[in-house]
Amino acid sequence: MNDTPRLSIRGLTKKFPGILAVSEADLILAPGEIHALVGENGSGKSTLCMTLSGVYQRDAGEIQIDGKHVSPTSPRQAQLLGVSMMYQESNLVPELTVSANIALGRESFVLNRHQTEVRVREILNRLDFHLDPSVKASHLSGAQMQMAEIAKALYEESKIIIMDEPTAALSIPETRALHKVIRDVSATGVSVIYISHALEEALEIADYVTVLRDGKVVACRETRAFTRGDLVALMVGRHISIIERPTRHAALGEEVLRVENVSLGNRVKNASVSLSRGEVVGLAGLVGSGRSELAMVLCGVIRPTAGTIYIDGKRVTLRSPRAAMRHGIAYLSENRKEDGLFMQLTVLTNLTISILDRLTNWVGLVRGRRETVEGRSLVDRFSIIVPGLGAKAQTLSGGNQQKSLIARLIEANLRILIFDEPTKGVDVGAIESIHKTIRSLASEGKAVLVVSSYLPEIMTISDRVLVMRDGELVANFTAEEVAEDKVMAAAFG
Amino acid sequence: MLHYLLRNQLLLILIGVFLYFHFSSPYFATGFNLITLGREGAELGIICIGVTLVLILGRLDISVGSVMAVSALIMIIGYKTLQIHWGYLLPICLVFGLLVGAFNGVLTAIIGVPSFIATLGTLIILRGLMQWASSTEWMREANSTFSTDPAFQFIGGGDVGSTIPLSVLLLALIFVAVLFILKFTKIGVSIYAFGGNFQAATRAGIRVKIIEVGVFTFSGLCAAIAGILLASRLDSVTYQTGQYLEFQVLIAVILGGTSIAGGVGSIWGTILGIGLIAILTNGMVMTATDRDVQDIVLALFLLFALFLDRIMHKLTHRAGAWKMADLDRALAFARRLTMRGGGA
Repeated sequence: MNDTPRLSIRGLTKKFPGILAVSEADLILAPGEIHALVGENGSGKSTLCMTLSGVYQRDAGEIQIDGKHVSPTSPRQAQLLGVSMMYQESNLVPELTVSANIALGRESFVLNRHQTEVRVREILNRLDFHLDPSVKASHLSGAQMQMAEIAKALYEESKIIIMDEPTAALSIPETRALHKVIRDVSATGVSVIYISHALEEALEIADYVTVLRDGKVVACRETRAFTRGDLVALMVGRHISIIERPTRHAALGEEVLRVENVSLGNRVKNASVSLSRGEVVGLAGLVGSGRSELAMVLCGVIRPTAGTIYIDGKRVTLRSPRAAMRHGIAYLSENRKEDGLFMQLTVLTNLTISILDRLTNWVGLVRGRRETVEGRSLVDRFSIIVPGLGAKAQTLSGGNQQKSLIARLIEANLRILIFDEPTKGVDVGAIESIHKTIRSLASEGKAVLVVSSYLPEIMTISDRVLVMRDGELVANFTAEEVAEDKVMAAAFG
Repeated sequence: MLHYLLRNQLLLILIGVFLYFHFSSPYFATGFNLITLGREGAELGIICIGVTLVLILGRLDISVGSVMAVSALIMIIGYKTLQIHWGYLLPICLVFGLLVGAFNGVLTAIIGVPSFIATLGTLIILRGLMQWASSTEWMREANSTFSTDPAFQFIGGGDVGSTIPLSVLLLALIFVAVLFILKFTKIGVSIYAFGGNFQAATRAGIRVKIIEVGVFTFSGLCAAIAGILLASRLDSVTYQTGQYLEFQVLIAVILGGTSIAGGVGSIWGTILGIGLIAILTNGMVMTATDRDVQDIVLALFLLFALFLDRIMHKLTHRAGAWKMADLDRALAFARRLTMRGGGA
């Protein structure tokens, strides 16, 4: 390594209306270094990187690449400077093939499809991703989309590669292959910035770790100098333990939901589940094992191809989410941005939109004062951090968006709650409070089904754990017999 | 798959409509009429190619009819009233089209006006210009004489080798060029990417503003070329020239399978769409169908095509076994419905 750093960021500041997203952040990156950025949601990791990749323009500070001052004002300029970034949200063009997507923006004037495809195949093989380059992006599943995104970041031989949560939808073998490739490219002198919520991953792969909190760099050290506990403490500014089993309620209520031999094509095969009042059931399994599909069948989003559903012992057909709601079933989607929140509307509207009936006067007009009072009490009860009730939902961090959505769902007063990845992309502090909420819902007598890829979460909150593999329910553990290794064994088969 | 079907069913409708007019009017399938049909189709077709590109971007250009009209106006008044040689007027018309197109492009891409509003503004300005011009002495003088230069008449009305209209050749030339650009160049991929996922295109380093201004400029140029052909073929222009043409253009392009939402579309489909519109319009004139009824028939064809498209889509997706991608798409669609259905 020579003396000039590959990248040097000094005093970088980025403001958004009402929020100081990044405040005087410093970051030094040597050639060939793998640098992990960790922090809670809304701590400014993504914003910092998007400033580097030209999506946002900084308000203050300086960026040097190989000792030269730069200020990329567009992703294109950042690319020319040797910075490529893999973004969190999907950035694929549905109508183009995987290989066209990966090469997008880097084509020669007259296309050479064959050569592009050969290169794409080579990258995908290196990553051990099973992905057909000639298939259209609209045909990909969530995990496959993420694979394409990663390949896209590696396609251009950049000096600096930024990966924002690359493993969020990947299975364990795929994550391993990705880590190997990251080590390989860094050995050739490419520097990698690795953003992740999975602290274990960051500790495993990175040479250096930078911890951000509220837009400020709170620590930057060699990875060896950190333990997982240190990182968590630095991220939240206090020590908490997320793997802490709550006391169980022995007495369960009567059965409210029973599903018999439900199938959905080959995605869900002959699944039978029963859910009782006052219990939290965890549904574990790998991504693509059919968990989300089963959850969607239960909440009426999609109709099963076979099987029957009983609510309170009566056979029902759930034709639509509205019908499911009428039967008392609520569904929290794993995609809060697309399916849950009205990003352009205010926090208050987002909180109260499902309960407006209760807040109207006799003419049918919404009583503004009562709505505000209700909204404020929800914000307090669920400790949602907002600039104000009038702020747009899109200005909130991921954790606070999720809390708002859960608050809205709970206020709608339904009996059967289905949570799909309730803490996906949510910071450590918010995870804790969401878990508490879920437990307290169960003790109020609601039946809760939690679909989660995050095993510690399943272990923490469930009274019972179901495991799915290839569309089938393969295991059913009680709280006493459940253990992480047993669940993993069942999930991998 | 969908486009393949849509294109094929469009081809079937096209043949069916052709045969219908062939049997209901003895004048329809005559050589003379077919050449006229080709000429009308070519002018519409050149405009449609430009508009197809705008639609693939996910934008709209409704100013094309009036750009064509003003381009024809420049030709007619310049040549017949002001006695300027038409050879000088050609580049003037082309530059006019480029400028109006670039103006639309700058309004939408750089200033951020929605394209519908921007091109509506252009449309109204140019229509106003037409109205004003038609009340002047110039227009009366132009429309009371006939041009005598055979070379001028040849542009829009002449046949190369006395069989193929020059305008049809011009259409073919533009068609091939645009097909090549869309299929085989970076610009083509960029246009599809722009319409398919704008954010992805921006983040992939595509120069989105240049692409957008460029496509609008091209659309303006196409409309101006059509105006030149029209002026030469009809040898006159009125304030009604090209009025409501934008709707015919949109019908043809959408019939051809291009989505208004952007990211999807092909100029092959557009050519078939134009063919159908041209045959319908001409055939209804030949069978002496009432003018108002003609519009209704055109609109019904558009709705019918979209309806057929949905039906075919449903049938093909129900028939087979559940495929992963289909299910994923169904799920994605269902997820979107969750919110609208008043769910969580």
